[in-house]
Amino acid sequence: MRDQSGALSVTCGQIQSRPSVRMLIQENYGLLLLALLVFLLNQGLEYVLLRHAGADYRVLCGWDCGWYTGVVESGYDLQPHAHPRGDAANWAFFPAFPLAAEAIGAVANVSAGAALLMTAKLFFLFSIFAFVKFAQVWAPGVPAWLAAAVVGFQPYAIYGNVGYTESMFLLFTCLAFLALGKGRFVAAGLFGAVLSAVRPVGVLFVVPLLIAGLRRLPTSDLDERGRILLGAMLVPVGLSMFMIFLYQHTGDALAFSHVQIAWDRIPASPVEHLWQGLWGGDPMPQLWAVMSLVALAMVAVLFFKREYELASFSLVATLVPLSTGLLAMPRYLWWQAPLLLLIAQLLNVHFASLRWHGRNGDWSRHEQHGTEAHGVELRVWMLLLPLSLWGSVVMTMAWINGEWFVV
Amino acid sequence: MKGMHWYYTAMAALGLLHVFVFSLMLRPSVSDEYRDYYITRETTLSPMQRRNLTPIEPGEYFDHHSTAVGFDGWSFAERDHRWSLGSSAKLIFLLEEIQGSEVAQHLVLRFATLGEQTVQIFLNDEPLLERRFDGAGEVELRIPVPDSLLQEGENIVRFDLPDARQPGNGDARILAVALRSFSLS
Repeated sequence: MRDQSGALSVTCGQIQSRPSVRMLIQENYGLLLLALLVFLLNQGLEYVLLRHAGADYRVLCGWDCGWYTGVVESGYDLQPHAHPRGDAANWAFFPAFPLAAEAIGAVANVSAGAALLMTAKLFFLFSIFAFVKFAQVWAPGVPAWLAAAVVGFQPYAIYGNVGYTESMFLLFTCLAFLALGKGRFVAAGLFGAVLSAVRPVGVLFVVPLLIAGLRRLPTSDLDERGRILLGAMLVPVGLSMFMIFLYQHTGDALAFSHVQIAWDRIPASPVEHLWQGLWGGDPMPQLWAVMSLVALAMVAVLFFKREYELASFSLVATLVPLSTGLLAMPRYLWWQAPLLLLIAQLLNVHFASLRWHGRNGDWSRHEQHGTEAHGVELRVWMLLLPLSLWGSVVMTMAWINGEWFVV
Repeated sequence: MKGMHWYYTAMAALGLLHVFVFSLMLRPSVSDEYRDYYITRETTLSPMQRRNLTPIEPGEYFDHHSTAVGFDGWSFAERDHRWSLGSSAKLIFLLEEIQGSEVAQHLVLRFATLGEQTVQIFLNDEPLLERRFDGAGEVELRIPVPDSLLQEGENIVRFDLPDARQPGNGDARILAVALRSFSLS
């Protein structure tokens, strides 16, 4: 039987047993196949574009992937050394992803660059599956195939394939929210702990966890309150471990933040960055500023829908990178699980019906009584999903061609 | 209750961990150069740039791309010049040995200004010049250097720029002086 939160459980007196791995696989077999299909379609598209451009997979490991390659091959820098000012070091690149890549590289016996690409792609596959599961809990009305397509065919899907952390970040965001949605606060905290070692904003998962805890507070017993607090205290563990390492290594526990000066990312007001982007005259920053405003509007929609956990996470995950500039904002925005979920909900909106009426033989958007009607329901995804796929092609080609704005 | 005991132990351990990490955050164990550049951001001259400064000789000419001179409080090198950032900017250079006033008698600076600007120039905190420029074009200043102002090791030419402002073309930087070159003669 399923309990109120949808978790599968077998009750026998006071004993509850969790489903076995075999049962979980049987239960999710269809979704696993769906995730695999979407992933393979994405990979097929990428392969065709690479062939078309006469490039090979090595071109995918560029920009930040180069930095992660350095972490996998040589560990973290002792001194800053890169960039014209000699002030850049790889401390800005969090350890969970390169550690996973190192493990996969050791198993597969491949180079660091290849290991990073394989790791990102593996997390991409799992993140499609995890996002569908996350959508089933937080927005059950969204069809599984549409949720999978939103991740696999979005314009910025390229970042799941290029040795960046985006796919790992999405996977663990989905897992953390999945656990949170089922009221498993300790599990949510553990996934949050990994998330905090993937990217700086990962630690901010503590905000939705505490909000969910506060919402449950009136009905929770002492045991559950303990689990909520423990979950919240678990979230920063990944970041804390990295900070202890950085202190031992460089003498500065916040080196990951302080070294951002090498990329001219100096904290300022998000409003200031938005203003400069909108009125600065350069088209790319203008586009990124508009995207950021759209994302903030989506956050407002989530708040309006009383999805406070999702809204709060996306709010902080948008404002924190925005406070350091507009560069790379698209990938910070469009790999956020709550925003992708809202997009999936938007794409699922039904906006018209086309019906075929047998008697007078015409297509109509209106109901007609006394006739046998056949037809199709028009949904937003029918218009926007092809556009999204086209955007994905454009961004993949931009990456292959080394355009600066894909960084 | 046994389960609750486990929670409390875990929470106490995590609490200690977070307090420990917080204490590390508050007391970085780094060099002064690191602190000034990365943490307090009092300088725009990175520790590596500072380490790479080499002693200069009177008569040598340094353009705005030079790595022998430290540009602290200046923006990136553009094609023809380097803009000052904010209301103060410094040129830092090293001298190996001082052998009296014949070593260097003038500080030679070529620059332009963003419109009308008052420029105050100091050498090792001693005022050398204060003048208002109309921004009409590039100027070359030959400023006499009094005896004993130059010192062995680090020397600092400081520009105080009270009229620095945004240029009004969408560039958010606070600009005043566009430096082209520097030399001691």
